Amino acid sequence: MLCWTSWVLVRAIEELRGGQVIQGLTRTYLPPYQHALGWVIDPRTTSLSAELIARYGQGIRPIDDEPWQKTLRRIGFRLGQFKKGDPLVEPSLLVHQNREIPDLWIGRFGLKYVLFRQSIGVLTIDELPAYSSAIRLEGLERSR
Amino acid sequence: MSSLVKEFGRTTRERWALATLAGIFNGIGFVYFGPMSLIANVPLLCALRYSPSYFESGLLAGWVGFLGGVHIYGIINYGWFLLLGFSLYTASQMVIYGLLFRWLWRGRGGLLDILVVAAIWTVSEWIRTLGPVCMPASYVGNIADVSWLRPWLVLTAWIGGIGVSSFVALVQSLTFHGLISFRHSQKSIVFMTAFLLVFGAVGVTQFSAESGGQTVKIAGVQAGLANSQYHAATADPAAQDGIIRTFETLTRRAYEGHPDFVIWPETAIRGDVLRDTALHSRLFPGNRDRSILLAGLIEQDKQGKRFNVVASVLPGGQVDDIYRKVRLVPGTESHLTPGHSVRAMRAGSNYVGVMICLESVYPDMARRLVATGAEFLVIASNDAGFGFSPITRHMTNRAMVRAMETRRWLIRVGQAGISAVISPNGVVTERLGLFKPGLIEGQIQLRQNQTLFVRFGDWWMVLIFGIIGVGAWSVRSKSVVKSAV
Repeated sequence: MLCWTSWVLVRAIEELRGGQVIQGLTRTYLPPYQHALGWVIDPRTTSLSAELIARYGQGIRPIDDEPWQKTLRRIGFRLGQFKKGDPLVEPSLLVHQNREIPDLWIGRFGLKYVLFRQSIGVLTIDELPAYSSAIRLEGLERSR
Repeated sequence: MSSLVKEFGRTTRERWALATLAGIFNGIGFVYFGPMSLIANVPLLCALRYSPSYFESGLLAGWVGFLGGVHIYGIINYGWFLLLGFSLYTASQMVIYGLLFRWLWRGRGGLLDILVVAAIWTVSEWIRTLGPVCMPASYVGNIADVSWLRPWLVLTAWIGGIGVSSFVALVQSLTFHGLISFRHSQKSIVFMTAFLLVFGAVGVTQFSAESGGQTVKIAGVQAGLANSQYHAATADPAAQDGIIRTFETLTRRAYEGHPDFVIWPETAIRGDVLRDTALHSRLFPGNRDRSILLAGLIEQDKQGKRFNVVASVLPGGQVDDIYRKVRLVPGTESHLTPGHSVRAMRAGSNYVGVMICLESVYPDMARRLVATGAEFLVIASNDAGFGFSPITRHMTNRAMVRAMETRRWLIRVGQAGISAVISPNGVVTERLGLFKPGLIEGQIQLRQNQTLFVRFGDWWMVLIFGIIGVGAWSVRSKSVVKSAV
């Protein structure tokens, strides 16, 4: 009976843990997890450049290791800088002094912020990480 | 060996060991290996016969129910309270079983004792189908995918799933009486075994009821997504678009095969698809398509009430009819409003009986749908929250029972799987496994006939209560004689 209980427990943990990788029709889905910044709701290891193309560059071919600035130009964004104190309304890139790659601010979800960070994926966070400037993405209709 | 079996259970410790064994057997039968149900309660019966009081009988049986219940651990992803609640609910069923056994079983080993054990199980299982917050679980659901038991399973069209559960309990009773008093019960055991075999032979003659009816083509759309993807979609428009693109791609692929019906799972897309005209052109059948889409969606009315629905959408995008889920999952669907009408849904010139997720475990749902004209049945479901646990396989088994009870072709479309096309004999003709995106395609026949079960429902329970009545009368007579002496 002890053996059975142990076996069922191990099996249940294996079957129910959120660790399964799901091969979807359009891409691979990784399980969500808690990160120091917040809850990673849609983990992915893609670059910012690839993410920008996936969201805003329909029909544009991704290029490996392309700098994100070039990607923005290829997509056709006009980049509008704005002050740090201004409220974030449109999708924006949050540039950090100590990080080479900015975060993509996607929007708000209730009281939380929704953010894409390169190599981590989409997170929901309570407070935005400190950033030095923000680049508003203008000039394209948000298709996604 | 024989005396060990006969004597085991005299001490309290032995009775609890037997009850624990029965709990494990019931759990195995419930989720892993259906045929185990055929003997699952035998250890409990061995314990109950030596139990000195009603109190202990209730406790022993309740423990069995609790242990059996926790094997449905897959629901833990929806909250501990659900698993605990379900297990305690199952325990309460078994308490009734234990108390009825204590009351009605005379220990003489005759025909009546054998029948009484089967009857009390049937009553305790039937009680689970009653009331507004009932949660049926049945032996027939455990064994529905066991092909060598099919001759008995197809008899559900006459006696309902509850009747076949009686047969399972009868096998338990025969095993129990064979173990403890074969010499005294020999004639009754042989007679009842022959009775079961005759029923099986009759069942074989019913296999031909599979054929007939107008043939139509169907295609089910299984996205194969985890629930976390839907959670992400509530916060991130790109994730929502990923879900929409998945359904768009698969649905368009389905339309290209020109099926008569394309079927989505439960709440496939959780936006206001019915009002979003931009999505209609992406998802709904166009004028050139010849398919009717049965779309699992969320509907919001003018008062802001939200319903879990399946809408039938005609070629050209016009919504023909909407079925609103009547039986919502307690707790997890409290934000939704229940529908109030169980009826077959119009889909062009045909009528389809739709059950959404949990509704498929209620025998009366499929029965009422067929009674109101359903020519085939659809179960739209989302079992992603159960992960890879065996619940989804068990739920597919329940779908087989609904198909056999009503003699209808049934298509089960799960968002994450399992999707299956099931014949009126309960045979899965097409299947798509868990978390695999794709289409499930097949041909089915539309049926108009009504089975005995559809017409008269739980008429089998009249026989069962007859046995209980005779048992109660017999016990009472015995008591009267005793007190007279």
